Amino acid sequence: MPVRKARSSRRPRRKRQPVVPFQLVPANRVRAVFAVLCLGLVGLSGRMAWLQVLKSSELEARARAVQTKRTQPLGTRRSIVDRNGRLVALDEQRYRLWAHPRYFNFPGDDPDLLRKPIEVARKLSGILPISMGQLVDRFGDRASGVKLVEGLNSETAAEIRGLGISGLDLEPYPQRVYPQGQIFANVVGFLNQDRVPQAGLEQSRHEELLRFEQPRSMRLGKDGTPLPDDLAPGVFYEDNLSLQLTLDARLQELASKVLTRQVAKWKAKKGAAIVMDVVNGELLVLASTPTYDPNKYWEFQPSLFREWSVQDLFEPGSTFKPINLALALQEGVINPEGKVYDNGKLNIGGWPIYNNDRQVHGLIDFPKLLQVSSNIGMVKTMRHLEASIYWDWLQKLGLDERPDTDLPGAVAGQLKNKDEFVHHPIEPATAAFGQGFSLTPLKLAQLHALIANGGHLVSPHITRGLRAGNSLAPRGSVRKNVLLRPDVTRTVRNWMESVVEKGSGMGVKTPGYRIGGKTGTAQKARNGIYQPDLKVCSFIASLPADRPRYVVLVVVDEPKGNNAFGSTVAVPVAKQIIDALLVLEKIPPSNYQAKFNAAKI
Amino acid sequence: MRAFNWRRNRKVLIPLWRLKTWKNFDLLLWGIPIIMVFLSGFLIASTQRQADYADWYNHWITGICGLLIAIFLAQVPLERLRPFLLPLYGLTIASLIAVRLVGTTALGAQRWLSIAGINVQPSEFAKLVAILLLAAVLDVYPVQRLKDLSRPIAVISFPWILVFIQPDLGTSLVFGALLITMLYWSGMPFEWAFLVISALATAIIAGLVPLVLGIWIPLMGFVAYKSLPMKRVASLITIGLHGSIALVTPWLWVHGLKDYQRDRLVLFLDPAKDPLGGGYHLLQSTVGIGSGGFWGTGLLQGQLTKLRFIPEQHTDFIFSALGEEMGFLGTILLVMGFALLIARLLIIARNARTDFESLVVVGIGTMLMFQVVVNIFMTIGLGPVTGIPLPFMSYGRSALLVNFIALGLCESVARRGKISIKNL
Repeated sequence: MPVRKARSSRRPRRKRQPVVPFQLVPANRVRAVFAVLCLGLVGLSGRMAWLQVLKSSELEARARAVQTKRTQPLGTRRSIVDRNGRLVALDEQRYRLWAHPRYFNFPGDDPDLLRKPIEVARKLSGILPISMGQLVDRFGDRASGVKLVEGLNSETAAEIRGLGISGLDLEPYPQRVYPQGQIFANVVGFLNQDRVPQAGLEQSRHEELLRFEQPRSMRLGKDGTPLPDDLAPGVFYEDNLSLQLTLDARLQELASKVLTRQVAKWKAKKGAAIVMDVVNGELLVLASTPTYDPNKYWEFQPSLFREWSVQDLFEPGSTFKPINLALALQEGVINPEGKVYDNGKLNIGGWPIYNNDRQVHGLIDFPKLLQVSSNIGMVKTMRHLEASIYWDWLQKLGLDERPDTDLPGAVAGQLKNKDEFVHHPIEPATAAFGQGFSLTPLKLAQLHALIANGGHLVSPHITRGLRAGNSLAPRGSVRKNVLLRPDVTRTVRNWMESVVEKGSGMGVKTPGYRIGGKTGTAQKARNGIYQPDLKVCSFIASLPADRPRYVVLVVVDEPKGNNAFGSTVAVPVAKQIIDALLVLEKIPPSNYQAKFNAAKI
Repeated sequence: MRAFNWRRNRKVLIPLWRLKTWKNFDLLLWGIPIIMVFLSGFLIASTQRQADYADWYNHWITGICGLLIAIFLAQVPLERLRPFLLPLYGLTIASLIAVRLVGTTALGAQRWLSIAGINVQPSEFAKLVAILLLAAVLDVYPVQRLKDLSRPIAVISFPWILVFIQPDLGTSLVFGALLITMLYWSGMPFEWAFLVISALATAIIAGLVPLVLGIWIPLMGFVAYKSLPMKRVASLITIGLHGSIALVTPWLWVHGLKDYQRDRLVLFLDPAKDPLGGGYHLLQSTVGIGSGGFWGTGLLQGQLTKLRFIPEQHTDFIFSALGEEMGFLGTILLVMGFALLIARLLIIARNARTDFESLVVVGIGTMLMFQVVVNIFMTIGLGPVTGIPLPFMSYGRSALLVNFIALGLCESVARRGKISIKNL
């Protein structure tokens, strides 16, 4: 490299440089420096292999865990609403307050400062419903995990959060609340402390009432920003479905109030009121008394947690007579204009049978028979129907079957077996006036709906289905199970209307409206013997009589007093329910309707 | 005919790819840092996805500026810098004092000077100036006797102390490392270096297992007896010095360090002790690197990186971004790259024309390598958090410029070296 040498020789140099002969740095020295400098790299590579190859999956899992936030479902339930959307049962967010005294620190404090429990208690006592002393007691000398209070509402929770005390933890949980209290208890049921359903719809529709919740896992940035990517579709889906009932809260409230008053007045054991839509079987009212408050279920007897009108049987008595007449008409064994001689007493197979008022009514037609509720007339009428055919009909009506219903715990009625029924003449005879077999009030209402709607058996139900948001669930379709001819039912309805016009059902007479009805005062048997002073008073009404839409059934069990009859005990209750029903369901007066129809023609 | 001989090619405009200079292109010296800067631009961009603390492209712009300065410096023979050394030294001391007085405070330390809106970190430049001055001193007064140590130590101690009291523990450690390596390179016996380094060991032993000192300090005395002149006296002095270090260290540990410094130094031993505080860096960084696995998640795909789970990731913890996004493969390639670079630098140093040049290159090599090792050890949870950037990778304009200037100086030495080595 001659050029370079020439150039470098031109440069001014320090004098000693040419003098001191330059020596290569010894090779071992180079190697030593290289070794020392790279020594770290070897250890480092080992560490990298350890971290990135051997422990990689574990660390990756940790990395994902750091940035993923999982939320566990709280197990919230759907609300229950009535037919108009009023809340019957709902989940409210409540808070549980936990304290961890070893982290107690106020905002603005030195992070190392540990506040005493008494200081925290002083701040909290103004907000919480318990005193400072109690708080300090609860803290005790525990360092962590002290449960202070439960059931805080969100306002209180926000206040506590506003204090900013570290070492306090608010845990949200859902609390089932029943704003209608006792009114729907028999239908809806309740959840116990562990949110396990114990009765009613809460229990029978448990699966449907569980809100769709999934454990959410969301990727978050360090500052808590949720990441829009890698979110599965539907992560933010919020279930706002609610279970809609067919019951009307206003009617239900009125019915239970009236019923409760009447039951108290007659010192009765229990009472039930049912209003059913005869076309589709929807129940507008299913009230019963006594009942309980599902918000404080622990204060009541567990025996109250069942709905007796659906789960208990009774002998219907005279309220069953119109149904018997319809069967006789359907079979053509009686003439609608026919008459029957009531001589006041019969003896069948050694058993004496009287009218309930022990009177003799003489030769009566069928409307009159119903008006005076003649037992003898009924027995003589039903004799025309062969016992086996009669029994077949009772079975066809589903007396011994569990009704097709969504009501929790509904039971089948009891009917003697066919052999017994056919071979003992007393059986069809008592059945003729509604004794000797038993059914639930619900079944009775269903059978009267059959008369009212022109002959088909509806499925009584109280739920319409799940509805989203504020929209109302559609009415279910009606499955027609036709049993009776329309002309038969029309005839019976006319007879029943006469009962309200001039018979035992006069108490529900409403000017302008045509209402059919039938009272019943059944005797109760205990250990196989009818007890003269144990009665079940009932009244069934269907309205409007010309084209019925509703049946109203009131049953009061064991009213006390000599004057306790269907007409005195059950009819007043039915009257008030009918009045409210006419107004709330906007049913026009019959005469007005007739005029309107006439004008149209 | 060396790389980038501008004078030769200036007049004839021939296509860039046909330049003969490419054949002499020092692949390792230039290629490795350029690849690193290029790669790091992506990593920094990845760390800044959710917020803009720094613009990633600044890293590339600074890198290009640095490269141009380096190419220019490569044309200048190192010897010509000698007259400027003292003024540079003075300027460095002055700027370090200025930092003390009017510097910008960040993270508990005063490190930056704001000059015309640009933050300059004088301690980065101080390292390079210290290397140059130390080389100049050792060139004239190579270490042969014990008292020869006094000049180099005196020269380096001013900037060293000034950096230490900023406080910038990391950079002051770099000063120590390059002092020892350069002394050794200039002829200091190995045992002396050993005795100096072992002072650190004494301090650690005194802090952790004081009983071992009973064996350790006599051993040091023996080494001193064997290697130093005036055997007995030297041996006694050594034992005395180590003994006093052993005594003073625990006291200094409690009273001389601030809490956060103490935490930083020991937290890596058990980062889980303070998982949300100081240990957070270490845990997150380790987890981030580990989660990359063998192949990594791919550039700009790091899940922890782009969500800013690792604090200071674009500066001191950039290696964790590399670990996550490029996996074991990327980190090992990076480590190998640094090893090759240092090997190249040592060869340049060995073939340097003068002792001065040789010492400068060794100093630079030490500076780079020490920073690499300490930084990566910190990042993977094997060492304390000391705030040393990773050369060519970490975001930081001063550091990147200094590193490129250093490369320019090395290239200058290489070009004038006695033996032509092409592309190693």
